[in-house]
Amino acid sequence: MGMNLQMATRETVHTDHPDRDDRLARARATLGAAERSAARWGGRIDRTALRTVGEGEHQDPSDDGLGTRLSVPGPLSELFPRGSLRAGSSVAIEGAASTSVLLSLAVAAAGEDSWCALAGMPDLGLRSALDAGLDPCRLAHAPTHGEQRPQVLSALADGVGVLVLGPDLDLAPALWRSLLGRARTADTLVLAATPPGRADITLRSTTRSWAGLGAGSGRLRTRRLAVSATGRGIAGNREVEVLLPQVGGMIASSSSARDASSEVRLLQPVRKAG
Amino acid sequence: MMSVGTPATRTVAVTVPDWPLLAALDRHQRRETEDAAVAIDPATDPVILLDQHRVTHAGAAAREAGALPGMKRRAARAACPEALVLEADTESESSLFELVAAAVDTIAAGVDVLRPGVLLMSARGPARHQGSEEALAERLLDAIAELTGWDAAVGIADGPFAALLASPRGRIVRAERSADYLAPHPITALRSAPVGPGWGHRGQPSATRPERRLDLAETVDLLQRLGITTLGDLAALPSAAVADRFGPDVATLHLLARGEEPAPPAAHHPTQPIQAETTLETPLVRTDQAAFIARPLAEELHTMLVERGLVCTRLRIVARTEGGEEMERTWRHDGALTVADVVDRIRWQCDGWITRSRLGGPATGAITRIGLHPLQLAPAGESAPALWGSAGEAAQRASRAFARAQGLAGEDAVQVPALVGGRLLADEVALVPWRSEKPARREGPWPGSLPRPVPATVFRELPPITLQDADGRPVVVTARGLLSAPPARLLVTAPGRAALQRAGLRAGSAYPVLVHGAPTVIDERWWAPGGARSARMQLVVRGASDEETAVLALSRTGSWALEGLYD
Repeated sequence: MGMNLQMATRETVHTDHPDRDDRLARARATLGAAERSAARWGGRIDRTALRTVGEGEHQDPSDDGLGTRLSVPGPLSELFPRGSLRAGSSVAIEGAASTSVLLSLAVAAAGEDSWCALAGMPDLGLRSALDAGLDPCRLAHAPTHGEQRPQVLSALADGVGVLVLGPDLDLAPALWRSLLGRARTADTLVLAATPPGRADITLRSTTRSWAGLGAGSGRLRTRRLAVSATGRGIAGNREVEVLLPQVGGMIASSSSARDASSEVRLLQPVRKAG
Repeated sequence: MMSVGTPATRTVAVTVPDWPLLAALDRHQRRETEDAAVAIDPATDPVILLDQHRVTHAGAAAREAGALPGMKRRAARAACPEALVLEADTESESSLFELVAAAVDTIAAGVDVLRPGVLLMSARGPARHQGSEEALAERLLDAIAELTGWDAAVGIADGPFAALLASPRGRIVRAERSADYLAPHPITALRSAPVGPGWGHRGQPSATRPERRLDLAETVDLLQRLGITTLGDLAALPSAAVADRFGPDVATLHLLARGEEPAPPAAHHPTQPIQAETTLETPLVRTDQAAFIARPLAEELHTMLVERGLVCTRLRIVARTEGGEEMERTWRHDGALTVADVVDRIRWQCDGWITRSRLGGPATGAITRIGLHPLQLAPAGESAPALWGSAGEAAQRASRAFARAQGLAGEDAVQVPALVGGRLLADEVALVPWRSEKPARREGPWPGSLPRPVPATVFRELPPITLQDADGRPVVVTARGLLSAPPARLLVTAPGRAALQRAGLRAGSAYPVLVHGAPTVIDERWWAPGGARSARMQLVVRGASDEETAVLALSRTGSWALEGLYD
């Protein structure tokens, strides 16, 4: 729908009221967003969220003729072509911090509206998933054992916005390919730890160091993690260094964390109203 | 049902005095048709009604002779030996009262039977139809006398409590004067307040409030001891103070004493209960049979709901077995439960039960009866699709997928997290089947809970490890919560944990501990015999891949295990 409106906008640039359609589109988008948030919170003011300044007005990964784009965590955006992910694509995650990277990618891609399903992660720490920012109202967990597993996974790939496949799933290569095909049709993002076949983008993470713990004192605070990406649309090998988890359990870029310690961060209250 | 008052509705209360006695008498007379000539008039002939060997009601003549409610059978018989003794039967009381309700139905709609002997309805419409409230009361009395032959009493007032108190005296309290009418009544009048068990929609507990037994006699006694002797005294108290001191039940009584009425819960209560039940001719022993039975039952319920323009958001499915055992399960739904949803839930419930009995659970016998009872109904308009854009579209798509997955592989195929609270990481968040009732959250505080960041992998079965100091002796946590020696090496003892292998911690190998925190002691339920003392500690070890790996170790009864892995 967004694409149609935009095209309509471009066509009517020469007419008498160049900004009328534009204003209509913006009004529709605003009403849609308001209604979405009202639907999510049951029409009530349900929680007051705090967001750092500047994060709220992030660039919407818009439609550019390449299909819907999904956002990725800010600190990791350099790794991805165009700084975003195509809906319906797949990402494989390998290395030391695979669970944390999976969760942070899922949080960013699920955004404000999509549902997220986790499969084959029997030992997932659910509190860390919630700390990473996953909305428990839009989160489902599928244990997926038993003979119905292919059908269940296919149903999930059809229905949710983000499908996370854990490392303990032990998929057959044929099932992996069929899941990717389904996800491509349904615009579902597939995030998988050590999949049995090719994925569009492969991320590999290496722990650099842990901070916060001393000899018999302190507590774990941050991990410095190097993440590198290879795959479709990436020339060679890109690498960034991030903090995952930072002290709150989320992802942060390692350079901004250094800045933040020196200057006071402004918090902007954002009220989730119905 | 908290102390939020709404402007009281003009209410008609129709009561039949001594209804259990009349019903029992009626049953007695119908049974002994040969004695029908000897008509018994409870006003002149002594009659007493017993329930579980205690007198619950006594006719006027019996009371005069000294047989009072509350006496034992023997004492009552001694006081009034010539009295006719009847046994109470709630079933027949309710069914016989339907006659009275039907008689009232011929005059006015929206009749609400509070309990056998008492019914309420809104006065405004019927009174306008009949011309005046006096005319309405007269017509009601006439209709009941004509169609059933019993003498009823009618009271009209603002709010149900004033109407109930007015009805035995046949009073019509003027509009907005309910508080003045109630004020001089003694506090014992609260005993007839329409709250607590036994009141409400045909004896069903309220769907919105967990039913706690409110002992009215005890409450009245307490208030009397506090020097509150009339309803006016009670009404004069500030409502916030009443709610704080006595809780929500007495706050409701306070509200009633002020002549207001509690705001009804937002959910819709039909005047006629909506439910679908079926008795199975051949008892259920296989799962596929359940599916055959479930569909017509679900369709019946759905038709009933559609006719009334309602959707069901909470449904209770009750299955009764040959042995008389009832298994019930409540299912909640944020949108509307469709026929397919209901069929699936019936099937799962039967499936679970059949599986349990096959696995050698307690023998209960086959399922003979299945009932669907909607607990929460809402007008259908609220679940209409969105106006602008795609609100809720993603949720609908996901719910279709989850319903399909659950239909394929059972209700456990899709689970959602529910925060329940606990000391250990694995206990903090529970997974419950999608769309089933979530467990209540246990409010903390949970001392010793782990500060952020928390491990991304939390083992449900803790893999055992050994911590050794520099000399190779095992490290333990002392009774004072200190380490016996700083750990130098971590040894994974049990094989076969995939998550550990991926993190570079292989079974049977020892890894050097780089840094470690101080142990945090968790005293779980130290006051109870089942309590356990444990300690947890964060460690960073150098794994096989030469990377730093952070783990959370838990010491229990002297041995270490891994609780979580920061991967």
